[in-house]
Amino acid sequence: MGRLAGTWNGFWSAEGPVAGLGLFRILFACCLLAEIPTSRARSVNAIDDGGFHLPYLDWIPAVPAAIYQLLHDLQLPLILLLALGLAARSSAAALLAIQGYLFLADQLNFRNHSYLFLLLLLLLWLSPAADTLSLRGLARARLAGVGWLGENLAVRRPLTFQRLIQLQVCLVYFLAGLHKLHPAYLRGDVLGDFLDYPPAVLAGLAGLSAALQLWLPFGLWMRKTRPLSMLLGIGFHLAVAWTLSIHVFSFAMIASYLLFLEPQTLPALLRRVD
Amino acid sequence: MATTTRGRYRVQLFVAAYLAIQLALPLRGLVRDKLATRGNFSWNMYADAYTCSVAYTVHEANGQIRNVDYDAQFRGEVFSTKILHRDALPSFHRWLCHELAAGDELRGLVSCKLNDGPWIDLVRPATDLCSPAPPGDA
Repeated sequence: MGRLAGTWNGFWSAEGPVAGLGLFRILFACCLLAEIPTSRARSVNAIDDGGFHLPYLDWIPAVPAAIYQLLHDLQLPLILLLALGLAARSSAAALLAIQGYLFLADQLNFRNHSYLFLLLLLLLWLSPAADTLSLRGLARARLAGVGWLGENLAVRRPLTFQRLIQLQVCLVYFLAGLHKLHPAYLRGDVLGDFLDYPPAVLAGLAGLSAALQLWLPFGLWMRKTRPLSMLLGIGFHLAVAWTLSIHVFSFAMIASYLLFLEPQTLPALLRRVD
Repeated sequence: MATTTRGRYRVQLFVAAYLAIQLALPLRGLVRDKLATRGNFSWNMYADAYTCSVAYTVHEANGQIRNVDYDAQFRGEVFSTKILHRDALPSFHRWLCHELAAGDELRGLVSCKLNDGPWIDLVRPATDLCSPAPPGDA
């Protein structure tokens, strides 16, 4: 029991370079930006227009259309601040509040994309993601009179929230894979609604996608299988983006692979580039 | 950055609570069938073929019958399919009933099919959906 607690503490309390987390923050901000038009079109149930509403909690009100548009416009500067790492924690908190409201205002607004983005925003808010590859890091380097990249890549912080994001990504894969383990999906019936391929091809793609989603949570964690798993995962997401037009979600999942690299790998790569 | 024992304890408590919620929430979607609930929060992305046939009518007190344009009740077709589950339909019925005059009845045929399964009625046909459901009725 004591050994288990020690492993748990060691895993969650470990410190290391957080350059990967910083780069993920920037790429995730790009995803948030790209998602705004979709959110504007698909969260409209938060508008108070006298129509049917199904809020998660009865006391969450719908808002007038003008406020709804404002809530989307407000996200632009906040996303920019998050990307730059300037007042990033406050920006992440404000984005979490706005997107959380749009999400909770009506159950009809539910989309897996927006739910995942909310969770990632929460974890980024709590993480030290803005301590590196940020304007704050630039200012710190200027004050110390050292090179910006070197200073930023040297930043070490607890990896707790980076690892929590990794686990969250793995949960998404694994549960999505579990849901697909039934004959109708594996026969290709579900994919047949979206893709115009012969049944044998649909069945093959269905089996592959389910197997891959069940494998990736393990393959991405293990050092030996990580490179191949990343390649397979990137291929999978590019295929999803291409065939199902799910672009932003796919890009966010690919960006999260940065967090699975050994914490020292990215700084070493960037130093070489520098 | 010095981390106090108390701070570390709080972070680990958050981690444990977060993981517990993220494991418990999807369970609902995994163990309950899609006719009962849409399975939001369970990451059931593109996993099932779910087909429904929907028709609602209002039986007015004067004997006239008029159809309810189901899709027109929503802000887009993409939203109209999201409530076709046993746990969400009662709220929709309450909202439709709220719009009716006294003495009017709302009747519906909502029949759905999950993957290879049979067509199943999610509301009791020929029943006024504005009157309280009998005990034990879905």
